This record gives sequence, C-alpha cells and structure tokens, in this order.
Amino acid sequence: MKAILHILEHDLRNFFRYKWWLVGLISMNLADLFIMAIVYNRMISSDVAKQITSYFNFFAPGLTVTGLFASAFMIGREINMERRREIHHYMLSLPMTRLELAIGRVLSGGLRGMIYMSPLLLTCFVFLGFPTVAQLLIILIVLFFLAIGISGLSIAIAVSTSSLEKFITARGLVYYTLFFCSSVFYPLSLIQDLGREGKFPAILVNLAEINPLSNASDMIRSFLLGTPPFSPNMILSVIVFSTIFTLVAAFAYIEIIERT
Amino acid sequence: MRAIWFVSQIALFGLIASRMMSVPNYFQYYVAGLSVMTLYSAAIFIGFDIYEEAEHGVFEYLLSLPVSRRQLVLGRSIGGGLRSFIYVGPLIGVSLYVIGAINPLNFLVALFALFLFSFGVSGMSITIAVMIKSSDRFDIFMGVLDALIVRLSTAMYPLAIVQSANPLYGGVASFNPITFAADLFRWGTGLETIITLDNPLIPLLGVIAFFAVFTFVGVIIYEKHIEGGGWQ
Amino acid sequence: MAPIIRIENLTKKFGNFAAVDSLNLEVEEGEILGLLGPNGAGKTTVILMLATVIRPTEGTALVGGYDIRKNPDKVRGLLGIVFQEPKMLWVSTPWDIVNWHAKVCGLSTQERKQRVKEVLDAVDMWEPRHKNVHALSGGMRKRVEMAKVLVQKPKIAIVDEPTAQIDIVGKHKIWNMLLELRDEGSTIILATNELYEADQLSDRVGILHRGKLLICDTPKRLKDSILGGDIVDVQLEKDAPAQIVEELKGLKEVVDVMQVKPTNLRLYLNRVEEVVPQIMNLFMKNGVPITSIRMSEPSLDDVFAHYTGLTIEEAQKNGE
Repeated sequence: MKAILHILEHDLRNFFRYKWWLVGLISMNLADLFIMAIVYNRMISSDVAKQITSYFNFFAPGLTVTGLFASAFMIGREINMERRREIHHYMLSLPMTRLELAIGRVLSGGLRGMIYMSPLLLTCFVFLGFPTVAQLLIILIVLFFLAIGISGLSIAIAVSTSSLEKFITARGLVYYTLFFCSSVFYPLSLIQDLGREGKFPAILVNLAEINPLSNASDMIRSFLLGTPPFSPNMILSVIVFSTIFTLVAAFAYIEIIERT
Repeated sequence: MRAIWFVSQIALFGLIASRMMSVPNYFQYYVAGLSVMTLYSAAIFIGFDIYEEAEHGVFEYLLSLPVSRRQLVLGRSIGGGLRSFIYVGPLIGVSLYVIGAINPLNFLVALFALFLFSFGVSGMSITIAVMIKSSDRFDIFMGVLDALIVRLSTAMYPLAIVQSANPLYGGVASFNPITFAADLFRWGTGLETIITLDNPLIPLLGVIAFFAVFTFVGVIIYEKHIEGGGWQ
Repeated sequence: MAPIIRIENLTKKFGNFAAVDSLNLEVEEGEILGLLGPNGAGKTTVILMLATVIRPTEGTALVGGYDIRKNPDKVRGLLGIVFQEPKMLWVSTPWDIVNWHAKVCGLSTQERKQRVKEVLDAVDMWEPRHKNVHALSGGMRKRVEMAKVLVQKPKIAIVDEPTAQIDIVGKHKIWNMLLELRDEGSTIILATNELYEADQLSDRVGILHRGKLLICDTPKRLKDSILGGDIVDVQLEKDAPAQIVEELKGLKEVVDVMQVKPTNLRLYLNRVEEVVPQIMNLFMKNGVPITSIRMSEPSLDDVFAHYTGLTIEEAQKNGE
C-alpha cells in the first residue's frame, strides 16, 4: 500500500510540473465553454433545439468529461517516454512489487484526471445547478472509474508500442475516435440518425453508443438537465470499460515493460 | 498526430456537428476553417524549435555564422512558414476535394494569402519566442494564445454569428488574422454557400499587414534581443 | 562466510547474440568488486539482471540469499543502483528525485530531511536542488544519480560508471564517497571502463569481454599474472659486466634482461617490489654503483590486452 502511495505522489508531482501543458489545456477547455459553446448556442437548428434547449448547458457536462479524458490519458505519453529513454529501468529497480507499480501508475493516471476535471465539474454545477448528494456521489464514483479506465487504456497503448511514431499513431487514432465518436459535443441521436441514413458506419454508431465518454456525459446531463433519461446502462458501460482496461493495463505493464 | 486530428475532425466532428447547425453547408464551412487552423498550428511550431535550439547550443552556432541577423530571422520566418505550408499542403488538398472547390483563379489568390499568413504566423512565433526568454512562459503564453485565437475567429463560425453572440468576441474576431485567412480561403473555393466576404480586398490587406508586421517589425525586435547574448 | 552475491551461469541473449554468456562469479560481503570492460562487454546487462530489471535467458543469481528469478521483490529491497545513464524525467528537480527515492527506500521523515541535505551538499547539488533536470549538465545529472544511492545506503550498491562526465575533482569526491559507503557496510559492484577507477577502488576486478568473464582477482594479482609485466630500468655509473647480467637473469622472478645501452639495463620481471632489493644487493655486492632505478607496473589495460589481445580502447573502437 505504501508503495502505491509513493507512486501516486511521484506521478502527481510530475503532473503539476507540466505547467505549460496544463495551462494550455485549461485555456482550451475554458475557451471551448465560454466562447465556442456560446457562439454555437446561436447556431443550433430548431430541430436540435427541441432536444437541447441550450448548447452551453448541453456542452458543459461534455467538457468535464473531455477534461478528465485528456488529463487521464496523459500518463500513457509519460510512460512511453520513460520506456524510450529507459527511465523505466529505475522504476523497475525500486523496492516494490510489479503489481504495486502497475496499480500505482493506473491509479495515478486516474487521479490526475479527477483532479484536473474537478474545477470543470464545479463550473458545470454553478451554471447548471447542483445535484443531490446521492447524484453527486454517483457522478464522482462513475467519473473515477472512467478516469482509471482511460488511464489504463492509455498505459496499455504506451507499453504496447515500441517506437515513437507507432505510439503517436495508435494514441491519435484511439484518442480522437473516442473523443469525437461520442455525445460529448453533440446529442447521440445525431450520430444514430446519420447511421440510419447510411452516412455513418454502423460500427462507429455502436461505438458512440457504448462509448464510456458518451455514457458519463449523458449521465451527468440526466442528473442536472433531466435529459436524456437516466439509465443504469450508463453506469454499467463505464464500469465494464474501466474494469477491462485497468486489468489490461496492469497485465501489459507488468509483462511487457520487463521485456527487452 | 496532426493528420489524424485533421481527418477525424472532418470525418467525425465536422460531419456530425453540421447536423445540428442552422448554418447552411456548415460541413464545407467548417472544413475550410479547419485547414487554416491546421496551418496555424503547424506554422507556430517554429517558436518551440527556437527554444529547443537554444537548449542544445544550435542557436549559438547559427548566430556565429557569416549571415546577418536580419537574414537569419527572415530565413527562419520564411522557412517556418514554408515548412508548415508544405506539411499542411496535402491536407488542404484533401479539404478542397471534400468541399468541392470550383474556382481555380480565386483559389490562387487565396493560396497566396495562405502563404503570407503562414509566414506571418512563423514570424509572430519567432518574435514572441525571442521576447519571452523562458521556455516555460513561452509554452504557457502560446497555449493560451492558441486557445483564444482560434475560437475568436471565423474558423468555426461566421462573423455575424460571433458578433450576435457577443459583440466583444465579434470585435476581436474582426481583426484576427485567422479570420482573414479563413474567409479568404472560403472565397477562394468559389462556393457561394460558404462565402461570407463581400470584398476580399480587406482581409487580403489584413493578411499582408500581419505578414509585414511580424516579418519586418519582428526582424527589428529579434535583432535587438539576440545581439550580445540578449536571447539568454 | 557465504558470498553475498552468487552468480551461476547467468546468460542474457538478444536473439542469437549473447550479451552475457554463462557468467559465474561470487561477490564477498563488504568488498568493492570492479567489473571492467569496454562498452558492449556486458557490464550493464549484468547489472540490469541483478537489479531484476530484465530477466536472464538462462542461469540465475542469489543476492543476499534471494534468487533473482524467484524472489525479485526481496532482491530489490537490498539493492541501490546508480545507472549508467541517469534515469530521471526532465521536469523533476534534484530535491524531488533524491527526497522521493529516500521515501521509497523507507527512510523516516526525520532521517530523510537530514540525509537528503547532507548528500546533496556532498555532491555539490544543494544549490541547484530546485532546478529542473532539463537545465542540468550531464555531470550534474550523474551526481544526482549518485546521490540516490548515497542517501539510501543500501546493503548492496551497484554503480555503473559513477564518474562518467564528471570532472577530476568531482571524481575524487565520488570515489571517497564510495569508499565511505563500503566502510559503512555496503558491498559495492562497480562497473567501469576507467582503468584508474577500477584499480584504485576495487578489492577485486573482474574483466568482461564480449559477455564473458575472463578473469577475476585483486588488481595486484591480475598485474602479476602477466609474466614479465613489471619493468625496472637501471642506470649505472659504468658499463654493466656480463657476469652481472647473467646473475640477474638467474633471479627467480626475472623473465628477461635487456642491455639497452652499456650502462642501462632493462629488466622484465614479476613482483617488482620483492625483486628490487635483490637487484640492488647484487649491484652493491659487485661494486657497481647505481645512478637511478625506475620501476613501472603493468596497468589493467595491459592485463586486458594480455587476455584479449586488444587494449580497452581498441576493443571499444572495434565496437565490442
């Protein structure tokens, strides 16, 4: 347990050292909410306006999830860099078990996501209204699971790709597919409509539906805005994703990182 | 990574987001703006290169060469712009194909403006890099600038809508070089449905002024700051 | 007493290439064992296997009684490593790195606060302790790497080229620190391709070449193992009589005698410190005054060349 805490301390401290990256991300997130979303509010078609009365209110929960996603995903980039520069040799030489090391890395990635997203979530509550205590607990627990799942996914990609080019490509493909093929920026119904019209591949429609980013965003919207209607599948999808990728990441980290 | 971002923006975000917009032909409108955003993000990178060079001693080597400071900064500025243009060129080609651009003559004018725009962005990046002597502060400044400059422009939405959403945003967007470049690019495609310009001369002059300021004025600032180790 | 490290047939292959080939070696508790060899000899690979960072292809090692394959966690609890290339993120600071390492190694808060300051001071990294690694020179990063082991005071320290990129004053400081570490009870494995470092610090030196251990013994015995490796130049006041030259050749440890000039003899021998008094007595007995005597011993480079046919520099140039 102590070893895991040490790893958390190590990774959290390094997280705050990437000041420039954090400021850039915060600026982008705030600009998306207070500029882009406000302008988009004026551009929503009447059909869509019936579903989402205000794009700003619709987007705020999505922004919280994207902030969590981006910051939790970052751990993979660090781990890949450690591997390329052989800094992981130092981590592997420490007096702790491999499992402790792997769990520590996954947890720290998730914790980073939670810390970064907290002010965004608070902003969301300020503008959309505060949830009940029970809803707040569910939101935090689900977001925590989402964060560690994303961290796990990122770590799994990082340790599976040996070269920088392969890592950047794999990371980009996964990142942007999950990011844009979700209900973070637009209602899921739009993606489903495109699918029905044959203008969007069915596989991507299915992906958008099971995407934990979609489900987490929609869950927060259901609590704060009353729409879409809450479904336990929203929570289940996040937990299943998180469980799979936490286990995959731990296994990959332990098995692959020692291979030379 | 940039290419993947570009393709996913077109194939995913642009396609889906256009379904929720009242702006006609938003998909084509957005793709045009996306090309300019990508060109901007590629051209701005030269500033980061300057810091990298300073750290590895390459900058000192460049300063020791038998080349005047003016030639050095002009060369970096033009080189940075050209590099980004070459890199983003194929992506611009893809976006033209997706949009269904039809007017080659207009497009040549727009291309010229994009050239100047990318040189201007490189020059701006170099000027800022030399003025801010800390790489951390530079990274932070550029991060904030990047977030604001793209969203306070017409890359993603028409100026009239920005102005109606918030007059202050509209004011800033009106003088934003990304606005000039994006609107000119759309005018260059020849597609009436996405053109928002009555007169391309004004944004063209805007891009030329942007280029001139950050290339020539930037040279003067650069010379002053780097002479005698002032860049350290 | 049982050796603290016992390496048995340790092998590491990368494809068909054997970076370490059937290494057998014992390390006594409290000694400084030098591993000498050019780049690519396999020193770092041995270290990484002992540190349980990479898995051996064949064989194993017992470190403090624990098998590196079966009990790697316990093995890591005994070790402190100074890596050849400093392993640190560029955004970290020396203070963060050493302080965190001390925490992970179980130092109490009180002990940690005191020791981190002492150690950073000792390696001249106290002033820049809050600078990013990014802004440090190669030598400074190496000193921070060294500081981790010094703060930890492990039972077994493995140091891989501890003074690379460090100036001569810094080198001496670090050598003294390693000797202090040994005196305080740590066993040290010192991997280096610096001959002077290996010679001065090590109780024993193991010479590695192309993944194999050629020989392991004290520096003195290694040098003595070269027949006629010691050289004595004797300058006389008058010509050396032929009879004296024959008598010199007859001395037990003398391998050869060469008359460079009538008044200058060069002797190739072993155990120079034992033979020189006999030489001087011989000249005194025969009434031949000596103007000067100059003695030289073989270096470890000569030892390496003796066993491999190449100097360390030549071996490195050949990309071995």
